[in-house]
Amino acid sequence: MHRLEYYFKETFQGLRRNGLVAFAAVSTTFIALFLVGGALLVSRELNLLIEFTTRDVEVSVFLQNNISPAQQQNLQDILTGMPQVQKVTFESKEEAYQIFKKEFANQQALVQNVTADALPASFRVKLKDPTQFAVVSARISGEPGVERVVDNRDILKRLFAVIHVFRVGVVAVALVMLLSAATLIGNTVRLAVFNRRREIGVMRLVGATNWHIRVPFLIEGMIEGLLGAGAAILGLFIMKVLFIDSFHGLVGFLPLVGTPDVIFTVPWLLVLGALVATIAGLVAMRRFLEV
Amino acid sequence: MIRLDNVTKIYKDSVVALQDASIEVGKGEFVFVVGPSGSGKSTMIRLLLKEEEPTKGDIFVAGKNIGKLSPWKVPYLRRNMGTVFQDFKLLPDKTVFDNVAFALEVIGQSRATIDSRVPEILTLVGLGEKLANYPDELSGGEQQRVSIARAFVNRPLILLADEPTGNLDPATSVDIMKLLDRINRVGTTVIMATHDNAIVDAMRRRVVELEDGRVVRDQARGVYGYA
Repeated sequence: MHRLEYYFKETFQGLRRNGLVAFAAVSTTFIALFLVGGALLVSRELNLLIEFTTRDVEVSVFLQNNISPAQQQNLQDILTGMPQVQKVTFESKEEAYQIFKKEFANQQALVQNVTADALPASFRVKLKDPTQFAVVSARISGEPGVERVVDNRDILKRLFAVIHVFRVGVVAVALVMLLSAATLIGNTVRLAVFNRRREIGVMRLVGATNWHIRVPFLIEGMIEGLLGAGAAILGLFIMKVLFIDSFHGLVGFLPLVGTPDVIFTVPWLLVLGALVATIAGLVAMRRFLEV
Repeated sequence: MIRLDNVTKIYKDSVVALQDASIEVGKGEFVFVVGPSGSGKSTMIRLLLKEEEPTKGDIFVAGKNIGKLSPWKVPYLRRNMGTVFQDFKLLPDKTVFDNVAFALEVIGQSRATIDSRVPEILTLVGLGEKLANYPDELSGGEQQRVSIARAFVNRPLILLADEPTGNLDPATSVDIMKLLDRINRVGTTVIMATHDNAIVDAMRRRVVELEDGRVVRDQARGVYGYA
């Protein structure tokens, strides 16, 4: 108990004494961990979006107008026979026209100029795993009666690529910020060691162990790391309430990250803050505190 | 208690601080190490504390070869040795009590031990009334008493003093020597580096004289220099 009391007494004196540098270290840690938390949430949101958008993805096999019933039956048999395929539905010209009419209901001029015959009939193929599109496409493309095979995911792919770059960017910035946070925490630890070199000299003379000398400085760094992490967590919750919750009204149909997702980041940020601070502290003291 | 076997210390800049020095100090002895500045007195103290490693030779403290001591055991070696310096090395922002308590705190002694031992040792050195004072409110002699109290509060087997009277006037120096003599009389081995000839002559204790890093004299009841 006495030992703990000693450690914490020394730690808080240290934090008070170099307040400004400590503040800089806490702020940088805050920004770094806020970005890391943000990256985690963006990641989560992307997964939700991918799940949502690919859930209904189909491969459309458009049929030629002059296809014979036998050819059509043959295609259906091939498709239903493939292990990658979950479900095959036939969409006739008439059904396609009904859907077309509904989708373009506010553009009557267009609807009136298009007849059911202008639209191709198609097989709507639902895959067990949407990424297996190429297999299905290769198998069916050359078959007689097939006009064109279209994967709805093509459009999404481009979106995903953009989002992926964004995600990597956020992680990169977060890493750079973490590195600067570690440097700043290391600096405060070094400064604290320097400010107390007289005490450290006496401690060594009277036979204090190295760890006994180091622990207060490590705790000091760790508290800075944890304060930064706490601020980052608070920041994420505020962001969530201010932006995501108000966004919800606008795009109600899209899945958005929720409170559980933010709570999920809490242990990660705390552990990361403490870890970065401890490593920074140990590195900073490595040369200073040899026997 | 302490033995130096043919110890040589050459610093990085090829300054020879000790050359082939051998001495043996028994338990409870009082030894003056004398010689001009730069003769190797401080180096000898630093070697005993394992703040420096000898270039050649072995050093034994309490029967153990400290050259073979692993780094993490060094603090425990130092707990057996109290140290007193010319510049006192007191912490200015701590009271007299806290300065002495600090030495016990950092080796993990309990509050109860600290609260009983610190006033006791400070009374012993004659500062029982000044527990709450800060170092800069004390005279040089009083500050040195605090540092002796700090060195001795842990009851070490050995007390190393490097020019403890170097900053003090003759009368105060005599008081400090009386205190070190008392500590020696309870069985503590005392090694004191000094070039204060008046004190050495008055005490009539063993004298080891160094010159350019060599032991040039080792005399049982010696004086500072040859008459």
